[in-house]
Amino acid sequence: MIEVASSISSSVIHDPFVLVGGIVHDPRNGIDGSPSDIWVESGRIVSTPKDTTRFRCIDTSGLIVMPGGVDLHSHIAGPKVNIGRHMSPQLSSHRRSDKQPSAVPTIHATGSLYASLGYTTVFDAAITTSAAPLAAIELRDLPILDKGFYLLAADNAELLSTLDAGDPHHIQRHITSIVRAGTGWGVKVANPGGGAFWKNSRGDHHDLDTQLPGRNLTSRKLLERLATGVQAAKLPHPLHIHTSHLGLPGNWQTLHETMKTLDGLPAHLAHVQFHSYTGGNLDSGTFGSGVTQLVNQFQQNKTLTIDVGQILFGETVAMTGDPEAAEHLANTTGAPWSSHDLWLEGGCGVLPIQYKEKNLIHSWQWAIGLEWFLSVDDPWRVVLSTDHPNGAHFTAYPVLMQLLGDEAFRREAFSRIHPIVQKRSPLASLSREYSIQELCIITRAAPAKIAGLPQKGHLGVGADADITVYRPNQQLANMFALPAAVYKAGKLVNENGHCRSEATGHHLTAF
Amino acid sequence: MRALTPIPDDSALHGGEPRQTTCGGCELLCEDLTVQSIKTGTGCTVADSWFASGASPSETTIDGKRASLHEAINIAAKRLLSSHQPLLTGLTSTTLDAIQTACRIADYIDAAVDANAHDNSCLTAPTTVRVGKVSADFEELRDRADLAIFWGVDPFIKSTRFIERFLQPMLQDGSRRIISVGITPTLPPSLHNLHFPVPEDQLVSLARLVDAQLTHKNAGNSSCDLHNIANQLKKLIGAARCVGFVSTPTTETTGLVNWSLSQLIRSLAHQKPCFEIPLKQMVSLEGGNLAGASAVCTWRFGSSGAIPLASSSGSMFLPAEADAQRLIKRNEVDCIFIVGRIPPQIKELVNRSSDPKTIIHITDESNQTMLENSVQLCCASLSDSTKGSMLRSDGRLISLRPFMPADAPSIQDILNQLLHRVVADGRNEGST
Repeated sequence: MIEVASSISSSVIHDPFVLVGGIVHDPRNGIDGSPSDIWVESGRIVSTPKDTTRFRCIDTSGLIVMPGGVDLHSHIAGPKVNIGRHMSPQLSSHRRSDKQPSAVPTIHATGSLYASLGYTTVFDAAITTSAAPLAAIELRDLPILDKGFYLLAADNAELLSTLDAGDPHHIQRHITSIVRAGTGWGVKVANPGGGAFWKNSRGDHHDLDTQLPGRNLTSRKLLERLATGVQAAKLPHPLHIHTSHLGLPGNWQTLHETMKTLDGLPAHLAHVQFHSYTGGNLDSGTFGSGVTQLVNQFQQNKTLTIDVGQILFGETVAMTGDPEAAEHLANTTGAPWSSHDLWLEGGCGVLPIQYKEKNLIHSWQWAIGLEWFLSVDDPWRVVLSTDHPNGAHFTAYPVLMQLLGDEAFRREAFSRIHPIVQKRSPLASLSREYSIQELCIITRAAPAKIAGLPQKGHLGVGADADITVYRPNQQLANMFALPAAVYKAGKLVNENGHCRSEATGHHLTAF
Repeated sequence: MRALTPIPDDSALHGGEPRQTTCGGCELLCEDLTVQSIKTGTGCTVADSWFASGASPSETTIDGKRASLHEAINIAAKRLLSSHQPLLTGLTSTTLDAIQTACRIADYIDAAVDANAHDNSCLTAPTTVRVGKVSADFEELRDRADLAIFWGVDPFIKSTRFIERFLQPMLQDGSRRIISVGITPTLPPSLHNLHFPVPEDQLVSLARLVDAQLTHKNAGNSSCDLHNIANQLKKLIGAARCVGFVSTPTTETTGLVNWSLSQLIRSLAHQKPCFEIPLKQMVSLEGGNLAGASAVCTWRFGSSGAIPLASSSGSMFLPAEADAQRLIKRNEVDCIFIVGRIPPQIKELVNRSSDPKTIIHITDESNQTMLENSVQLCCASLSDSTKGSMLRSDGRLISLRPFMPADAPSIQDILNQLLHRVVADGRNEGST
């Protein structure tokens, strides 16, 4: 056990200041655990000043210093999140005996809890264009963090018509106007074309080459044209894709086809864990992991990035802009199900879910997510996510980080899951451990880079002074759950789990 | 009464088209009304009342005596801070921004919060938790449903523009059929409009019967008449491409009508496009932004109303326990902070109360709270001079389109000033 270093001052500290002697992890600038000083002034990181007397010295020797965390894919605002808050009152904080946070926290608690983990930037991954103004109003109430959202633009009937017509110039202009008007950061597509199938009929689980009802467009063409349009519109973040057949057995083939469709085009594939299953009607094998084939394809398509959407065992609320997927899950589980169809757009589906260690499917999902993390060579193309709250609450990130960085801890957890999965999952043979530097990459540097935030995810001169200071601890879950200090734009916002300031973050918009 | 003189640069004619505006009177938030129709009558009693209210400007007063806004805000802040059991209510006639600011104040002073959504929540919340809710925007009913079923709908729906706006426009193939299930027909019966007379106490049985038939389950015992109706409904539903159910709160108090209908819709929605349009509070002269108040309270406090203690990290939801009316009746509030028009039931309770309470009221209506121990802050008309947005009950954001110049500070301005004052005074109190 590494000895815990002394705590830093408990007073609220504004810049200018300097963090002295910390063990700095700044992957983007090639710093991997070297002692270094970080100078902060006017909310940004600055070079060593000539006059250092103005700067308050904060001794961080023995402590780990990282950029603030960036969550690239979460669900924190908008109508579906509010539905989620209503759906499972038994999962609210004051109904839980174990002091867990609400499965779907209030907007204020969301900001405070993220900051308490060392996260300083978050994106909501699915806001319809019609709900964007409301989501923007809600996000004004989110304290501390910088925040943005991706617009479900391909659910918009007008853009679908433009995509159907296929004029690249027109598509680019239309995307630009939608993102500008909706104050979005990027464009997300959830189950490409799925809304059209959903509203036309039920149970029509199309493949990527089926024409959308009433259109000449297929899901594959939609993906190609939308990804090209987003690139042409020069949005900071490439097309964010939740592909079709989420959660269905055999859906690895759909994700595989999606990757092939995007050959050479920049795109981000969301919560790939939910799209990596063998078995079922779409596959002659049994339910299991399709990760090996998918990772092979992913390693070849260098323009693609992923977040994993890891599940962790426990109760949560699933929410998605893919109503077809929610209906399927509700029909399978019989759980309470909320669905809302939006005029000229898609809709949403919300339902409570409990992931159980001894459940065969849930065990597979858990193992498949970890298999993804441990199989991809390049951490710069992988982002840590649980698709909060779908796979697990974001406050479980520290546990996930220990699962990745501590093989013994992972093996012990593996020994508790369903025996068939223990027997068949490739995870059994994976011994890789993420280093602190790699954990820093998948929670900070990579998501910032993939999101298109050059001023975040690193500690170089000019970066936003979003900084987290951790006490080294071999129990990584403990270390990442309780930072010694978190700074947002140069202001101390959390210290030893206590909120010190509720500065309002910025709404990040592409235009 | 003010004369209706539109804002000069937003004249009645707008590019040759009649200038449109929005009615905030009920949950439909009709945005297709014209300034001209407001003068001559909209054909909707709710809209006419909405625009008539607030046309007589109120006065800023302290304990019934005229005062400056600055002075009134200072006194209001002091009284809010010194109260031990404050309650925030009203809210439904105001914009989302105003509700958001009011909730910040509530959070700061540890108030109870209720926008009078409790009656509805009592009935619908358990259903949402146990069954869920399959719903859609109003326009989805208009544009997709070839079968619309009014399920025990109160006839008051006919006094609004719901049918005119969302059912009379025909589908492209003109194929829509409309069915009323309940005591009275919603529309006159015709080839396309059917009426199945079913007393309210049999709606639960009928819903379960249809559900059982659709899902091939045992239906249990019921009358021959009800079986016949269920059979006919099953056939009509089976022939439809997309089914929209329209429901309103009923007089039964157990919530079973709501529950059984939600269960039926859910079963059907697994098979074919189907959804419910739950109308909540059509006639509510205190404003149509109930959904907005519920949304803001939910994201800020985790509950849509009946909140005993506002806390941004999550509040308890106690319908039938901590709602505004019960708190006032039980004398468990000493200060009532009313934002926007006062709900009639609250006004009545306040007037009847033997225990004097401090009232802080931001309103556009005249002579509302000319009482001892009250501060009334006069704001610009909420009907025709207020910018911002409200949330329709189906969750669609609707922009208000003011057409009259404001003759007083907006409700948002007053709330911002009040929040600033409350925070500043609160800090001073803390430091001393």
